[in-house]
Amino acid sequence: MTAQSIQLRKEARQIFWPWLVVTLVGLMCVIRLSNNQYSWGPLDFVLPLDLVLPVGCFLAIPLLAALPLGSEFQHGTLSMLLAQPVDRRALWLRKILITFGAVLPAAILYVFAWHLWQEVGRDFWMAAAWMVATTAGAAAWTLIARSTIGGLALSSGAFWIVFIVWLYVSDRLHENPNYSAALHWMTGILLSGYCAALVWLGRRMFLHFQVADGVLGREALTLLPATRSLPQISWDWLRSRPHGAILNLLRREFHLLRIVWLLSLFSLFIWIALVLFGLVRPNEMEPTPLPAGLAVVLSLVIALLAGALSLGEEKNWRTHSWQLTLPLSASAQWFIKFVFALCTGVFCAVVIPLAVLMTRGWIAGAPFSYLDHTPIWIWFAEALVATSVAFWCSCVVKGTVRAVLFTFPMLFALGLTYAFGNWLGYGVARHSEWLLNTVANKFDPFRVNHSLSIFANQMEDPPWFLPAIIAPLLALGLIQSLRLLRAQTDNRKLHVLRCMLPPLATLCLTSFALSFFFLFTHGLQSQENDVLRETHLAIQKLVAGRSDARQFERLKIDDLARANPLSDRTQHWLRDSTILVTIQGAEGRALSSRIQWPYERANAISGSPGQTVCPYSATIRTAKGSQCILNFWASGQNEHGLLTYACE
Amino acid sequence: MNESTPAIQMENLCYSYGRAEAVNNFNLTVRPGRCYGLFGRNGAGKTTTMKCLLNLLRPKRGNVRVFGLDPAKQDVAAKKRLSYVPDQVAFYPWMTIRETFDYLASFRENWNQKTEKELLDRFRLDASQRTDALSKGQRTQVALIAAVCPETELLVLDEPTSGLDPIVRREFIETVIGAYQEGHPGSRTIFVSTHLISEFEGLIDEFTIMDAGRAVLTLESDHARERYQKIRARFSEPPPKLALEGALHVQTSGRELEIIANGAARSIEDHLRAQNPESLSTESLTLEEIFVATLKS
Repeated sequence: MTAQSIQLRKEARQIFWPWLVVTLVGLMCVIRLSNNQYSWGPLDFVLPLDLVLPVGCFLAIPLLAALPLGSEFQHGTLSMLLAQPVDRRALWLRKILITFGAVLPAAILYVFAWHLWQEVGRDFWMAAAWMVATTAGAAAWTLIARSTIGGLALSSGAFWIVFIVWLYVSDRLHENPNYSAALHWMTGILLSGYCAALVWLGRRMFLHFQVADGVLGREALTLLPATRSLPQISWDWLRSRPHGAILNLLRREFHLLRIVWLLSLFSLFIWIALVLFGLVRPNEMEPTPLPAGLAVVLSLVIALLAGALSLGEEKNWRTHSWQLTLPLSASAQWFIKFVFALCTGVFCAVVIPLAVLMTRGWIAGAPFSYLDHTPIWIWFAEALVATSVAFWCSCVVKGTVRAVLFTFPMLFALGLTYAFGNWLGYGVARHSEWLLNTVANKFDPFRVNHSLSIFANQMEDPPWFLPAIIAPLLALGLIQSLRLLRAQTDNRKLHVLRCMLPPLATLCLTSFALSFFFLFTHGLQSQENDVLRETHLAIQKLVAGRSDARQFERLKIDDLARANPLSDRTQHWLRDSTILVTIQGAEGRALSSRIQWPYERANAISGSPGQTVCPYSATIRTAKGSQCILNFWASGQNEHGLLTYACE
Repeated sequence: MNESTPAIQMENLCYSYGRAEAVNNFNLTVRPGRCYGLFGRNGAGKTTTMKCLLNLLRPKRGNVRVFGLDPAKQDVAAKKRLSYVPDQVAFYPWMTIRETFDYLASFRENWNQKTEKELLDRFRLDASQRTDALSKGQRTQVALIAAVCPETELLVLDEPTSGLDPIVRREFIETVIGAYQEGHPGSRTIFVSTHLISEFEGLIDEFTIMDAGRAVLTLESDHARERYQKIRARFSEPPPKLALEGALHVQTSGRELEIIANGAARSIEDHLRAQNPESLSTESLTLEEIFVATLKS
């Protein structure tokens, strides 16, 4: 193996795993989109194309482009690299080759997937232009930021400004047909110029790069020049004091999250620009326009950074273990970090955009008119989940970049596990006839069904269902993150996998239990439906032709069986039951329009054509003590009617 | 806590990173008021032992006590009584030295500002300087001042002089450690891990030499110097081959014979005298020489 190939292998190894993940996701999108007939079932849940494709194009590809240089900062190896007896131009060339070699196949996959997903229109070209421009500028911006994520933020932010201006100008010029054709040429030339300038700038910066900073060589987002100046302005409050340990810890957190404040400021300007330039319109019924989608992606990045930055940076600087030797419990330090991260994530990723949109709506006279139809609590829940998962990831691995990169496969794994648990639950429930029979044999099936139905109906509401899924996972994740914060992080892959197993197993178990529970309840309910329908048909046969109201009949299961054959299950359910039937007069002929769901249920019943049905009311008293009230509402003119029933 | 409670006690301490055993059945007792050295080569398990002491690592087996307290269960109470200087010193880069001291002081019940000022002057550090602009040695100096100023009962130092220039190193040992113990001879304990043993020669009261995670030798310094002696004998001819009991290390160089004796100096001297050497001299080993001899043997 030659020296050249060894060095190229090292460069490739640095970005291999992120590249593999990004490329595989792109490939899955292409396969999914090129096979429209085939439904992926559970995978649709973990691969939502309207999220994965924009995140891939606008976040993953620029991140991939920033990694070859960014990882040198992350691992503190840049000074070592530059100290080697190799011409810097050769090093630069190698970096550029690896960057384009990695980005190109992945970008082609995403462009192709986008082409399959939507028609080739403005959004398609914008996505392509974004990938080209951010890749070209990645090296220069990473060298300025001296970190991967800083480089990604600056590269994306800079092009975003160009992007917004271009959108505004092109919208104006499109109105004039004389300029429309020239616009395409102009855009192409401007984009090429922008990319060429940044590649040249990156090369120049790399050739003249000076390893001067004392802490250089570590991923140090908070050392960005812009972030340095931000809180330095005056805030005396943020300076540590000799007294007040907790306040000092809060101040420290504020400093650690400087990049988040900076990005939030940028996000604020972006949302204001979107509203001012009319790129977000009130009562938008169409899918989210792309520029707004990008702003949402930025909010996602903010939420992730809010979770990962604090502990990630501490581990980079090696202040983490030193902090744990201070006379303050690790759990108190963990609590402050976690709560501060959550509050920051929610405030910066959700409250800021909402405030801009609602203010604009309020100026227009309808505060909520600029929000889409997603309930606001979903926004908050998404930010909380993203921040919490990123925080957990920062406890598992060392460093901010690793934590942020690890968040994506972790979220994917969580989604996949949830889908798997659901699938397993439905699969097992579908083959659990024996369990239904056991319940019917051992307990009073009407009573069990009544209790389970009420509980299941409540649980089906998202405000109940989501906490039921998330709460055990969250509890376990928090305990685990506290334990991991105390421990010295072990960076081996096996350790990471071992950490992933408990939350994934918990989620799998929860989703399995819930889906099994719902399907089991549904199965029991449909058995009850069948039993009552058979009972109804038998009663109908017995009372057919009678019109004398208020006539009581006391029936047993044998009477019903003689009138109409009953299944074994019905006979079992109604064993030793007493059925009191009252034939209804005129009041039973008026169809009831009101039922007390979920305590009462209704089924439309059709008899055989030409048959005249008789309205009645029946009370079934089972031997085990439960009671079902059946009401059959029918006009008596034809075979149709409505059977309502309530069991308790 | 009574007078006899050890400042540090470790019993059968075990810790491993995966399958690699870092500390194995390690025992150690440090009495209050002593300056205790933990010596060992790189990778001997010194830092792991210290991290177990500070509850930064949870031992796989064994007990650790700091003034009778279990650091895993009485974390805060134990840490209130000690201060620590890590092997790799790091500070928050946005803070100045002044802010760093204020930040650390906020966690402590006591902070000696007079000592802080004296040491800042002695090390010629500017308190308004940002910590990210400090050199490696200056960062170590700041960490040392921050560890001394709270005036805790136990000072835990992990390779405290690495990165310091020889002048500062000497000044640190004489000034910082001296100042720390001065005036409180019976109550201030120092637990220091280092491989620059010669620097601490006059300060160490007792030491343990670690190798491959195990305690190889534990002795009081004075006793060690009495026990380990270097005997030099010069003969008129190449020295005879002798079977010397209690010789830890024997080296022949021309007509000269150098023997490191482990507690049997007197009998070896007698044995050598019987061979009529031209000259015979005996001297105590330094701690560093004891360290080298122990690990080489």
